[in-house]
Amino acid sequence: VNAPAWLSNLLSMLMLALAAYSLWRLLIARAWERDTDYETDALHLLAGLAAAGLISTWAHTLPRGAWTVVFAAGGVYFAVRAVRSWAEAGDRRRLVGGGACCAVLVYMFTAGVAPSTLHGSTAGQYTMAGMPGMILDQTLTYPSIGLIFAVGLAFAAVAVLNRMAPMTAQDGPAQAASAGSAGSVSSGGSEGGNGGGSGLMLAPRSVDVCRILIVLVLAYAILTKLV
Amino acid sequence: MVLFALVELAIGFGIAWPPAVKPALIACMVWAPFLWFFAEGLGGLASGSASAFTGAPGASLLYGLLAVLLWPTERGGRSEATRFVGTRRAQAVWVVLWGLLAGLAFLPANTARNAFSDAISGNGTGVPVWYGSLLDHASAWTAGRGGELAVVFGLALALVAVSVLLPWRRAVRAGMVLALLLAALIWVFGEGFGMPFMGMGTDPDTAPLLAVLALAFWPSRRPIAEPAVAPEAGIVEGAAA
Repeated sequence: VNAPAWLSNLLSMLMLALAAYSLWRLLIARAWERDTDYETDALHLLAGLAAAGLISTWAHTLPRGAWTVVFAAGGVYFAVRAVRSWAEAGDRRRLVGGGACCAVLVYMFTAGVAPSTLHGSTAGQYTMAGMPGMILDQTLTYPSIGLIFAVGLAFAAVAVLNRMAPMTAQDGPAQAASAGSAGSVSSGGSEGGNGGGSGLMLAPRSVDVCRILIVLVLAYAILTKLV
Repeated sequence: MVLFALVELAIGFGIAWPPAVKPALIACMVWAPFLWFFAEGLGGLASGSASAFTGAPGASLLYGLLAVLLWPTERGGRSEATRFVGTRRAQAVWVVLWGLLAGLAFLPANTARNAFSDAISGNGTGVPVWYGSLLDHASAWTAGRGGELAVVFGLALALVAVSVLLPWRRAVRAGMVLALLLAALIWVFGEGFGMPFMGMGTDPDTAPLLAVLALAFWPSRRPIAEPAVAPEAGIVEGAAA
């Protein structure tokens, strides 16, 4: 797909904002005596920065090889952590999700997902190979794996959203009442408790929203090179 | 195009988020006919060559149909699809849909010698090597056999259509399995996975929706108890049938 440049720019800015927010969470959680899931926040920080560079040239940061090493190491870390805490369903789901996110990013950096060099929209046009006016950007290696990842990411986004409960007026007091049980599942469905705060999670729903946004942007980045 | 994508993302995520399910389903019911008419050209039904193998009756129609059949309700039923509209109406929808697909298989354009072969080879542009090879083999095998394959395909679709009326749960399940198998064959060979590799795919096409429909009609092991007093008499008549 030859995605419009404004959309790619907008999504890149969104990813950078998300990375900045995750950094802010990492820095502020302890000072505010709130718990946060440091692993997920760190992953969102790195994934946000990487994803921005994958869809817009101006957001490029590290070389592809460096990002590949970072996310390969992250994937191994999450995999080991997932195996060690396999008995706890909440932690397991979160850690497996983190590992899967790293695996997708490793694929993206090694398979050639990158900002499109084409400009303008092909909306409504047939892009047939060898035809005049054809605008097609299919430079992805292993496109079948890319398609599987894109579909998997879409399902992951739906699954996270489906687990998110609506916010109610009782959420604050209820969460405060459950504070102290570090590692518990928050009212918004985000698991965590890796921090050393009071047990009161720092804006858990926003983590879910970040998770959904990252997953969608990664799927978008793959699809722009695939279809 | 971006606007279309955003609308569809909003509908999809609305359905995924429990508090927004009903508004999103209503939006789907409004959006689907619009797409079916303007973007899908009635799923090709008016063309004289529409075939279930190549995407008839149109994905939008199936999205709308699923939005109605899977409307959230507390009512019981023999399957998910029968809970809201009732058993008879759901069965009627199934029979009409799959019966229509069976009928289309016998159109002259679809019984031509190379009807299947041409449809399969048309999906080969830009695809990965392994998939292109699979399509090449399938295209070569079906070349010149369009008439025979159309009869087999049409009869299989007709079997699926009537299976839902059978009184034995195992027979109904066999029909659903056949429906799933046909959906898989249609998706891989007829629809090219919705043509994502050709730069012109906008949706996964009809086959995954036919599969979802079959799963929605999958008979439960034991019927969920109907409520003693039904809130809406008009719907209960069908639900109790």
